[in-house]
Amino acid sequence: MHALSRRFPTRGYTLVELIVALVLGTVALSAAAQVFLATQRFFRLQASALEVHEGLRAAMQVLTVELRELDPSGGDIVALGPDSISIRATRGLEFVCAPPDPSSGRMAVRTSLSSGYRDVDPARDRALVFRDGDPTTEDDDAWLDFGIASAGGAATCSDGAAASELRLVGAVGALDSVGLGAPVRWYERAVYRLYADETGAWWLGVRGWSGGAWAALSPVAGPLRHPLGLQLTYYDATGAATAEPTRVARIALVVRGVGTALLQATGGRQEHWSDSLVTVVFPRNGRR
Amino acid sequence: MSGLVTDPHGRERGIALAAAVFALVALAALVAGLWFAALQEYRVGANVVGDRRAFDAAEAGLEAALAGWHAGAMNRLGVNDSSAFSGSLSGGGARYAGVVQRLGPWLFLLRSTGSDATGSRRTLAVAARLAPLRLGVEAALVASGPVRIGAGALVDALAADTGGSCAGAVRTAAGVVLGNASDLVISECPAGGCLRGDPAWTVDPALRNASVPLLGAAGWASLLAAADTIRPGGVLTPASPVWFAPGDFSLPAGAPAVPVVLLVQGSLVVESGAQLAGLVVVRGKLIVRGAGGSVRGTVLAGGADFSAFAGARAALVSSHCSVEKALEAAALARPLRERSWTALY
Repeated sequence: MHALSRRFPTRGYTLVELIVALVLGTVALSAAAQVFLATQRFFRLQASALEVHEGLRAAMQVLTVELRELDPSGGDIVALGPDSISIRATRGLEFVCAPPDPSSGRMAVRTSLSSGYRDVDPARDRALVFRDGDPTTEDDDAWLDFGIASAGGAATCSDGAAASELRLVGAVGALDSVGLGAPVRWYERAVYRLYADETGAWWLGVRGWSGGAWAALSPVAGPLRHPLGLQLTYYDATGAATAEPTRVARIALVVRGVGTALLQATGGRQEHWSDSLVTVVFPRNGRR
Repeated sequence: MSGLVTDPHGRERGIALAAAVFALVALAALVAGLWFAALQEYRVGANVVGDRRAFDAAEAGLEAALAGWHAGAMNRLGVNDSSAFSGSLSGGGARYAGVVQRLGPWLFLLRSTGSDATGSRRTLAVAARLAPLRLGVEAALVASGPVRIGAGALVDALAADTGGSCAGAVRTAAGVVLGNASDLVISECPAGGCLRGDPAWTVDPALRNASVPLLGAAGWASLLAAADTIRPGGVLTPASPVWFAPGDFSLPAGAPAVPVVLLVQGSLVVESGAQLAGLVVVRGKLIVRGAGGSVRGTVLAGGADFSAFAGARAALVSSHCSVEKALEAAALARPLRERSWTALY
């Protein structure tokens, strides 16, 4: 053993070496930890911002698409509020391709021109049918509102093309003045508003009218801030604010989102990331 | 230095390298995460911009198709027939392409798909209808200035129609509507009269000083928007439902096969044997010079002279049917007053 240690002499660290190494190591680790933590904070902030932006974009996308299709003068805004709106939301478009039967309410709609967000659901949907009346004038043009008894049966257009059948209920006698090519818009009653889920988070939610009752609210986008997560302001054609649904010409929309994660803010405070989007929607289908 | 070497084989032991590698890997993972997040955000932003460009292009397509409505071609589409349109917007590589499809006798569907260089696409549609201009009055002649009838001319608002698909149609109308009673001069009227109508003539003070009788400047402009220009010496054909003569114009012998609208910026001379059905709007004076010339329909003019010819009778016969057909053929398409617009899925 002695001979071995003589052959391979070893030496320990001095106290000074150890202290210097420890100090340098601590400084380096501390710097690395700072960088790591800062990067992690930034990452969490980015993730939170992404979450908020995603919610905002989704909320704005849904609302602008729905509101743009409205005909306020024709009654498509059923009720309005500062943080909610009840509308007749268009779900699809068809075109009459054979003379409707005013006694049974049956009409054939051209399959090749059908367009819809989903299939017709008679329990949820109603139909607005364009009635030309005297074709040489626009003055008597109107949209007739019917319930839908059934949809999707096979039918044939006057020119032999494929069609599907819509059977309407209501004052179907008025279908006698509905001409070839008349558009049919089918819609559902929908309410958009801010609501809290069971965890206390606030969302933009929607509920529809189905089978004679309101369905439960379902989330559309979020989470949003509360209060003021959804703000709707309505203006008439002169630019004055209005609370009269049929006079609405534009709708100012503010959506404020909030992240779910708590972030370290300056001053040691913890807060949620929040952001907002603002836009103005002009309903396209109001009376000209 | 050699005194610090502890490994007999010259290798140092420690965790510095491992720690450095670990830190580098951790930082790289975070940076990669950030890069991925930023890339996602960039892509989402680019998609939003692309979607907006496509939407705007689709809308521009609809607007362009309606603004450029050529009544001569579009109003003749058969039900279910279609006509394509396309175009591009400057900047951003946005384009649109679409079709106009006739849905029924009066209704059309315009579909326009907008796209941009990123591949975003949006399809929008507008339901439109033909909106023919309507005359507020039924008469053979509506004049804001002097009207002279004589030498065997006939202005008749009681006769049954004789032309084409309108044959046999009878509709009571005024013979002449004037701004002032003193504007009407009738001379050398043969037996049986040369001015017939119910009433034969009447006065509408609103015609005094009217730039374009009855139609007004707006009505004139809307017809002009659908018009093809005809130069002196040109021949009216059914190729266009509306013709516009930018100065004086002489209507030669012959007749277009279908009722048309003729707009004349100056004066119109109806030559011998000229036949015309439809609506004639003359900002100057209507001069019936040739024997046997006739107009079936309604003439709106700054004045009229039916006295400067001899021979076979020249006639202006009121025809509500011809006017209606001419105006329908010349009609522009307009979006339905309500619920015309939709985004297609």
